[in-house]
Amino acid sequence: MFRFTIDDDLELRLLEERHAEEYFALIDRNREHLRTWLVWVYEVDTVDAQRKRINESLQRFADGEGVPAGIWFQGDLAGEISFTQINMDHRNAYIEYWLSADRQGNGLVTRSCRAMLDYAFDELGLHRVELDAAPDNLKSRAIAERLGFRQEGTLREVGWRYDHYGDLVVYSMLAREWRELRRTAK
Amino acid sequence: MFKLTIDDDLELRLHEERHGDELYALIERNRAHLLEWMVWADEGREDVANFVKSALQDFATGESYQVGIWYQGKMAGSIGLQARNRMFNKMEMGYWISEDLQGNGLVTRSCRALLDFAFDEIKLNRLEIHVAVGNDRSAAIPERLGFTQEGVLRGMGWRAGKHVDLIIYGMLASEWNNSR
Repeated sequence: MFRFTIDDDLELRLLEERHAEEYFALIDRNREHLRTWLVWVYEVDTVDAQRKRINESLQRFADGEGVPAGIWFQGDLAGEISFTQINMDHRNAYIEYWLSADRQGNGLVTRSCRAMLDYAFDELGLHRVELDAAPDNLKSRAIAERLGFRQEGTLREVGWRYDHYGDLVVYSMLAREWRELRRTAK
Repeated sequence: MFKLTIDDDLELRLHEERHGDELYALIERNRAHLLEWMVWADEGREDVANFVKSALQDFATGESYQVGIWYQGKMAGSIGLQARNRMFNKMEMGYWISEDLQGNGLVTRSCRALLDFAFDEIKLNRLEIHVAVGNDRSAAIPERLGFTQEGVLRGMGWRAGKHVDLIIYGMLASEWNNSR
C-alpha cells in the first residue's frame, strides 16, 4: 500500500505481514548467497517465521525505531533496505540492505539507498546514518563508497559469524554531507 | 516518504508521530465541525498523540490502517480501515475532511483508493461504512460509490451526547470488482 516510487522499474514499499510469503520465497532462493553476510537467514525457515520478523519490524516502526522497506523491481520483491535502531535522542540510525543474487549489478541498492537517505535527512530529520559491512563484503562496501559515505574505522571482532567473531567496517553519512553531495551533483 | 499516491494533488500517508502536530492543528481548526458527528473530536494534543501511537500499533498487526488525506502537500483529513474481523474477513471504513476542503471529492477519491487496497491487497470479502442518520454528506459517499444500504441499527451510535441510529452500508469484493 505505502510505497515510494524511484523510477518506472523500481519502488520501495513498507513491508507488511502479507508480504511474508513472497519474502520467504526470495530468501529461500538466495539462502546460499545471503548466509555468508547475513547471520539471521537461518532463522527464516518458514513463512510463519518471516511473518513474525515482519511483525517485529513493524512494531519497531510503530515505536519510531525502524523503517522496514522491501525493494520491488518490475513488480517483484528483489530485496530489502531498512533503517534499524533509529535513535531520536541522537538522531541517528543504521541502514541495512540485501538484494537477490539475480538482481545484482543493476544499481538497485544504490538507487534505493539514495531514496532512503533523502527520507532520513529530509523527512525523519536524522543527523547521521551508519552503514556497517564486513571487510570482505566488497559489493556492500562498494555501495557505501559510491554514495560518498565516509569510512570511519574497523571494529574488531564485533559480530558473530557462525563460528568466529568478525570485524565490521563502519561507514557513515551526515545530513550536511548528503545535502552538499546532492547540491554538487546538480 | 511511503504513501499511496492517488493523483497529482492527493495522497494518503500513514499517520506517524511526526505528523501529530499537524493532525492536532487540523482537528483544532475543525473542532465544531467535527463534534457534530465525531464523538472523539474533543480530543486534546495528548489524545491525538495516543491515537497515532495506537494506530501505528494496529498497523503493525494489520488490525487497522489509519492514514492522513494529504491535499496539495498539506494534511486535509483522515481516513481509515478498522475493526478487522478475520473470521468474516471484513473491515469498516471511516473518514473526515477539513470543512474548507469539502465538495472537492477528496474523500470519494480516497475511499476508492482504499477500496482497491482493501479488496486487492488485504483481500477482504466485505467492507462496511457506518453513517449516523442525518449525516447526509457522509452518507452521500457510500451512495456515490455504489454501496448497498443494508439496514438502520437503532440507537447503535453515540454522537454529540446522545444515541443515534446508524445506517449500515456494505460493499462486497465481487461487487467492487464488477463496478470497476
